[in-house]
Amino acid sequence: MRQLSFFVDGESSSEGRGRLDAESERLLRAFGEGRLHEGASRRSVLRETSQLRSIARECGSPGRPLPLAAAFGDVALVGRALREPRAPISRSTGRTRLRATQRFLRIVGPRIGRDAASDLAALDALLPARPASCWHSTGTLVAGEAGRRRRRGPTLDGADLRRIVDAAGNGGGASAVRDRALAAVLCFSGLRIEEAVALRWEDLETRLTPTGYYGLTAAIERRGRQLRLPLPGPSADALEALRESVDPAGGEPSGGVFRTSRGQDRPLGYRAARNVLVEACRRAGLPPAESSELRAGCAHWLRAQGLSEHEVRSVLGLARVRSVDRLLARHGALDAQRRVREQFAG
Amino acid sequence: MAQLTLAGFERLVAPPPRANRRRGVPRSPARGPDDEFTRAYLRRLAARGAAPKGIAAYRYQLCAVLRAASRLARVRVALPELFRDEALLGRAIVDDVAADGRAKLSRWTLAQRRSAVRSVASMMRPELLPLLGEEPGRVVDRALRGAAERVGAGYRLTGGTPRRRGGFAPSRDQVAALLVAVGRAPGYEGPRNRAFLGILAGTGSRVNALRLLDGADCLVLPNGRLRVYLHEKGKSERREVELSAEAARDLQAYAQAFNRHAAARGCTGRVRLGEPGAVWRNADGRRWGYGAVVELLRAGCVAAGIPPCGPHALRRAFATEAASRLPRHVVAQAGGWQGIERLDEHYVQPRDATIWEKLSGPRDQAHGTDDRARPTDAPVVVLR
Repeated sequence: MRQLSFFVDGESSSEGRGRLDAESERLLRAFGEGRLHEGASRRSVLRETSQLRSIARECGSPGRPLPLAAAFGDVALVGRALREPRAPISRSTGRTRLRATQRFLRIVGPRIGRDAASDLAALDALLPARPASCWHSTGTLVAGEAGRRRRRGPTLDGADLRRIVDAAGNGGGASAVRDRALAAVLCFSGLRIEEAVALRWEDLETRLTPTGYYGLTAAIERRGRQLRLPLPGPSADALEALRESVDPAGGEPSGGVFRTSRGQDRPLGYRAARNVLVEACRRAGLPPAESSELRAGCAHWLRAQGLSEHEVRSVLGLARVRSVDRLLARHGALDAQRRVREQFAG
Repeated sequence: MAQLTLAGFERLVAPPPRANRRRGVPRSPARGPDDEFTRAYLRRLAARGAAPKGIAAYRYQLCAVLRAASRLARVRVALPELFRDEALLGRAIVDDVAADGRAKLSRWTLAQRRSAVRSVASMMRPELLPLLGEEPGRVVDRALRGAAERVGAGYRLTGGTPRRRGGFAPSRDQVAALLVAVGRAPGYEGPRNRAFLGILAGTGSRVNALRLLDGADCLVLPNGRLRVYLHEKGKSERREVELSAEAARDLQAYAQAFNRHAAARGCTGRVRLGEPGAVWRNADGRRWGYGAVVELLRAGCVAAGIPPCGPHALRRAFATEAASRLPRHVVAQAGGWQGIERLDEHYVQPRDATIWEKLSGPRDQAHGTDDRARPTDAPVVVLR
C-alpha cells in the first residue's frame, strides 16, 4: 500500500533507486497527478511512471539517465528508445512504454514548451508500423518479446494439487494449519493469491445450494463487481479446520483469514503467501507453480468432477468461457498424448 | 544505377560468397548484406523478440533478393534503393532462380522472401518513409502486383515450384525393426539411438526439437512420469510432452550409459535430466548433430531392410498410426499440429494393409456399424 500512496503524500517508494533528477521527478509527479485526475488507477500510473524513468535511462548513457525534459525535447531520441531498447523487454512493457510516452507528451509536454500534437505525429513517423487493419489502428509496432521469458511449469492435475496441499500442511509448527488452508484455497478455488490474502472471515458464508447442500462461499471483488464464489470441498474443509484452530470454542472469528504468525492481527502479505506456496511445491517434489497453473489444475479437477466448461467458469469467477478453454488447453494435449500412448501400447 | 545511401548509414559492402552446402547438412550462420541499414533492421527484429533462426532466415532471404536484383539490374543494389525501384523490387521478390543459376526455388522459399521484404518495409518504415514519400508497405504491394498475373478480381504469383511434402511413412512393424537395428550399436550409442528414435516415433516430435532438448527441460514428476518440454515450430512457448514408461526408461538408460562412457573417456560433460546441458550427445560429449541423425537413420533403414527415410518419416508414421485408431483432432492435439489441415494433407497416409485388416475383421469392431439391438433400443414398429 505504501507504493500506491506515492502520489498522495509525495513520498517516493523507490527510496533513491532509479530516481531521476529533481526536475524530472517534479515532472513525473505532475504527470501522475494529471493521470489520477483523468481517473486512471494508481497501479497504471505507477507502471507508466516507472516506464518513463526507463525511457530516461534508455536515452542517457549507462548509469546516467537523461533528464526527462531533455529526453522529450528530442523526440527522435525517445523514438529510438522505443524502437530498440538496450535491455530485452516484454511486448506488454513495450506497449506500456509507448502509452506512457504519448500520455506524457500530452499532459506534461506543454509545460516543457512542446507542442503535443506535432510531437505525437513525429513520434508516429519514427516508429515501425505495418498497414493498419482498421480505422482505429495505426499499425504501430513496439519493441518487446511476445512470448513469456520464464520457464513454464508442469501441467498439474487433481492429484498434484492434493500433493501440494498435503505438503503445505506437513511443514509443522503453529502455521501448518494456516499454510494448508492457504494452499487449499489457492489450489481448489477460483481465488487468486491477492484475493486469498485479503479474505476475511466475514467474507465467508455457508449457503444453502439449490440441491439442498450447504456449501461454503467466499465474497470477493473482481473487475469492480462483488462476486460470491463457491469453495469446493478440499478448500472448504481446510478453511473449517483453520476456523477450529483459530477459535476452538466454536465461535465466529473475525478479521483476516490468513494472518502472520508474529502479529495476530496482521494479514499475511502477498509475498509471504507466495513463499508458502513455493515451499509446499518444493516439498511435494514439484517446481514452483504459478497462480495460472494452479487455476488450470483446478479447472481440470472441476471438469473431472463432472462440471461443464460454463460451470467451471462460474466456480472460478472468470468472465469468459474461452478462458476456461485456454486454461485446459495443455491438459487437452496431455490427455490426447495419453490416449495415443494407450493405443500404441495396446 | 547509382548507389544511394541514407543519412547516417554506411555504404553497402560486398556480400560474402555463399558457402557450398550439402543436402541434409544444416546451413552455417546465415550470411547477408552487412550494411548499417540491414544491421538496424536486424536489431529491431531482435528487439521485437524474433527467434535467432527467424532472424537468420530473413537475413538470408534479403541477401537472396539483393542478389537477384543485382543480377537483373546488372549493377549492385542496396536495400533502400531497391525500394525506390518498384519494378525491380517486384521482379527480385518473385525471381525463382536459385543461386547456382539453374535450379528453381520452391514457392515456400519465395513466400518467406516476401515475408522478409514486408518485414523490412514495416520495421524500417521510419527510414524508408522520407525516402519514398509514402508508406513502404504500399510500395511492396505495387511491386508485387506489377510482377503478378492478373486473375479475376485479384493477382496471382506464378513463380516457384510447389513445395514437396509427404513421403514414405514406415509402418509400425518397420519402426520396430528400425529401433531394433539402431539399438544394436555398441557402447552408449545403442541406448541413445533407441531412446531418441523411440521418442520420435512415439510422440511424433520434430527431430530438431528433440535433438536440441536441454536437461533443464526434462522434469520427473512425483508420480514418476517424465515430461519433456520441446521447442514448438512457430511458437515461443514450449510443448509439454509426457513420455511413455518405456521411453522414459530408455532415456534414463541412455543417460546412465553415456555417463559411464564419459567417465571412461575422461570427459567432463554428463547427461543429467533436470539440470542444464545437452541431452543428446556424440562420443566427444558435444551435442549430437542433425547430420549424424540422418546418417544413423539411413544406416538403420538399410540394416532393418526398409526403404530409406528421413527423421520426419517417423512423424508421418506417428500421425498415420494414431489416425487409424483415434479421431483426427485428438491426433493433432497429441502431435502438436495446429488444426487438422496439414495433418490431413501431408502426414496421414492410410495403408492398404490396415484398410483390409479392418474390412476383413468382425463387423462389430468397426466404427458405428454395430447393428445389434441394445436393451435401451426401443422398437420402431411393432408387428402383430
